[in-house]
Amino acid sequence: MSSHREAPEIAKDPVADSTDLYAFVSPDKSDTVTLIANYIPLEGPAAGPNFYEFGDDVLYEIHISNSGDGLADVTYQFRFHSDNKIPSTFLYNDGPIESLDSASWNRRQYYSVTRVTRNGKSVELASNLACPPCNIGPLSTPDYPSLARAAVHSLSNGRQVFAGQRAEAFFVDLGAIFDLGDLRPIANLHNTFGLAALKATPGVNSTAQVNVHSIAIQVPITDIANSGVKPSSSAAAASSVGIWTTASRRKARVLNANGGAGIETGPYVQVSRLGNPLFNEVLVPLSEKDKWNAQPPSKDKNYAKGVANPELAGLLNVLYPGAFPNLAAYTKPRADLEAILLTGIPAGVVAKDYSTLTGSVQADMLRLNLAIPPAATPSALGILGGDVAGFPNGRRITDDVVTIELQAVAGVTIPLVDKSFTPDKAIADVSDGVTGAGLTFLSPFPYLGTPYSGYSVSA
Amino acid sequence: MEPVSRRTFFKQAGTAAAVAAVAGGALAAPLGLGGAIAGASSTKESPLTPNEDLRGNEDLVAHVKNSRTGEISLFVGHREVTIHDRKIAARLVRAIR
Repeated sequence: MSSHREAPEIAKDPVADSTDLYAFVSPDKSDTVTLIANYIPLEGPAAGPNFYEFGDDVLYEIHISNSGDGLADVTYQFRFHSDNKIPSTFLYNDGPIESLDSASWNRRQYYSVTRVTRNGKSVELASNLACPPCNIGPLSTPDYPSLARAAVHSLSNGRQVFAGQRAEAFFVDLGAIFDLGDLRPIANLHNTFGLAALKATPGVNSTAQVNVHSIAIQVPITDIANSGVKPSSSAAAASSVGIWTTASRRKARVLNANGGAGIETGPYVQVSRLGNPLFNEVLVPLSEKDKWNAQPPSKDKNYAKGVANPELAGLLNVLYPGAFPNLAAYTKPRADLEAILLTGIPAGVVAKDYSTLTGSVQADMLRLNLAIPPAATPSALGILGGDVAGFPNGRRITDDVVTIELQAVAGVTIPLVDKSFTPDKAIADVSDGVTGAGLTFLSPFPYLGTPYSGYSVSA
Repeated sequence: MEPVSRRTFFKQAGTAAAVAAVAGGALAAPLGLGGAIAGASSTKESPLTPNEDLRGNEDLVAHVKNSRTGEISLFVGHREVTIHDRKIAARLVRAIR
């Protein structure tokens, strides 16, 4: 998955497990950027009696580096706290929840937003902001969209924020990818390890009809741009910023023998990180994934080997014998992947005015060029579809990052840096075969769709 | 962790590393953030000075990382303070024997 359950330790800690990170120039407010960090993977909608919520003991952060060194220049922090309004009931709600102050709603969650800059200045932008409830069903949450709209909070300086449950927008055929890479559309080409041959079939979306918890904040471009100035030239070096999200827990915890939260103390330590989708999942060895989650992007040169020589590229040649002869013969370090994932793409490689370069420091960050406007007709394949406003220039919620990255690993982007390479013919079919068809989104912020209710989705 | 009286806490002997959670002010005075060790007289109920008392509901968690070197990490508030004191480490280890 993008980053769902991608490392052994964080897989056991869902509320701190970042699943997806999105960053894009807002399509309906092009002087702002929208940053969305999703947490809690694979929420089954029917989650009663204790519905999903953020961790009160987790510090959630979205970081922006605008000075090229892989260190945060601006950080938005989100801290949550929960409350039981009706202590005597075992229920999440004892009647319809028709507003965010409904007397029928027992278990609630609130949060604060703090903006921190590299010089150490910390400003609390808001506190006690209400999250919406989870989407339960037609009796408990009869008008869920209105509850969610009420949970979009306006902050100072034109900022908006939302934190709560949303429908999963990420789509992927997990069942196939992690069954030894038998991508269904080209499964007929798989070596199957001598077992019965597989047929080529359409992909299956493994994340269909599940929810996540989203932290979404929309801020003026000047809030995160280098020197606080909105860039005007997309080719300029300072136009791109790097973005990543982290979750941290207190270093010491002593459980309470009588139940409850126990004692948590000491400094926060990072337990989850996400920049580019699939980076830790696919490019970092299993034995190092937990350590990677605890590191800042500025130390990612330690993982550059896995980018320059991706294990997956070698596997493609083994799993699909004969399908990728040009890739099999290519022995140079993958400068294309290093640029896309670790430094950004310099101006002139894709187009004269296209750049995601943030500098020479190798750091896994989702890079967004703040001077490239939203696309009028977006392509889910982003740069591979000729759409410079999509991944890997930021990431929109509709971008098919699995196909983009699979094809990139399979060699489609090598010609950007090495004109002597010709991608294999099979590359056009390299995909998990899943699209975002059927997913619905909101036209205004926070854009992600209404979460599935437990009543409307079968197990 | 088995209940340990304040007196036996300082009398028991041992060598292995331990993790000790010290809640409230009851055990804070003998440990002391600065590494000072309370002597036998510390078992007397003398008043705590402001520097010996934890503030409010503050919790202190001590992690003995290495009893041989006396390396102990103390977690309080949002801070981690590392001390190196073999005698304190030895006393904590003795308390669990």
